[in-house]
Amino acid sequence: MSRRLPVALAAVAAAAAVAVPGAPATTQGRSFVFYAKATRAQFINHADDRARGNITNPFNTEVLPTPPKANAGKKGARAGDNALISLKVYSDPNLKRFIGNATYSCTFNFAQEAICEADFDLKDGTMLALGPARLDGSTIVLAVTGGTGKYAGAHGQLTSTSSGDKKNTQIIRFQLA
Amino acid sequence: MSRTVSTRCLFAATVLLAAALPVTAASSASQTSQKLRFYAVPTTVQFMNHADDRLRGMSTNPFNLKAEVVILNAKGKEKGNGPFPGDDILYGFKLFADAKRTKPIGTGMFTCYYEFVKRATCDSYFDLTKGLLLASGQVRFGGTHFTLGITGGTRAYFGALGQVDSVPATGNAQRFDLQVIGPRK
Repeated sequence: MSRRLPVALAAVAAAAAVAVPGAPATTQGRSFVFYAKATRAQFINHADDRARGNITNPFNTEVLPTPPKANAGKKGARAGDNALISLKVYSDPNLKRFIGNATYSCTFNFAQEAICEADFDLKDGTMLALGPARLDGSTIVLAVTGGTGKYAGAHGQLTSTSSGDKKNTQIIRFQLA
Repeated sequence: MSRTVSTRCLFAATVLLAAALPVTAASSASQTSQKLRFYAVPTTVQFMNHADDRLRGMSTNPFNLKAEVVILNAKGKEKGNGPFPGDDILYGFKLFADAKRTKPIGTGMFTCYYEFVKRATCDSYFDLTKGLLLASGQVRFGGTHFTLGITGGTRAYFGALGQVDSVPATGNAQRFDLQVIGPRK
């Protein structure tokens, strides 16, 4: 997990960074790109809660047990663990024009996939997005569910991809309805 | 304000209003709506028992003394197996287009964070062939009828809103009826 997180963060950050230089006059029907760089990550390992939950839980015996492979596999995140990732967001790919911060709060579910809530706190408003992510450096597509300020009523999707450069920049493209 | 200026203002307001009305009507008219129905069969579940965190939170917390009285009402004793506040349950589903469950169309995932009286706020997503749909809302533990709000989507469901109604189906399945309201064109 510790090796994967920076890659994931970088991807997220890159996605955030490519965005619009300056705020769009209106967000409706707009597409813009931000660039982001991960600055901090915290992994919360809930192994004790998981183990306790496998023994003491509200299910009756008819409920399916957790399949051994469901949480699985490689070393790292298991179902119920959390990952918190903070990013700095820029309007240019050189990461010179700082425009705000972003936080990804993720809860892992099965097969090392997580549901992530992304909060973008930008100079001209905020945006919220939610959806699944693998946090392994692959492209993340989240649904934009709302916002404030210039982004009030924002709705659409964001796509976060890693730039692949040494800075681990994430390129975040917002497409708003 | 002079009468001339007042008349001009009234005229301008009328023109603006007249211009605005058709736009509003056109906007709502161009909104797409579709209904979807699928059947979900649970495949995976994980219960996260946060008893230790709850217990720790009773002694170390940011509340003042008055609030502490409320916290200590439980006296640290949990009767039954919950779910209690702070617990969470993750559910994985396989989704089918038909009640006989012969036509798989995707997967679903619910992450439910429990509050009080066994009620949870659940965030869910349905990963369908055409795209992703997100829904959130309150679900009571053991409850089979619930309604969630659709908060967004991707690809074919880009900018989607609407609601999801869930009722029990045959076997261990749940039937989901979705009213998906698309973004304005």
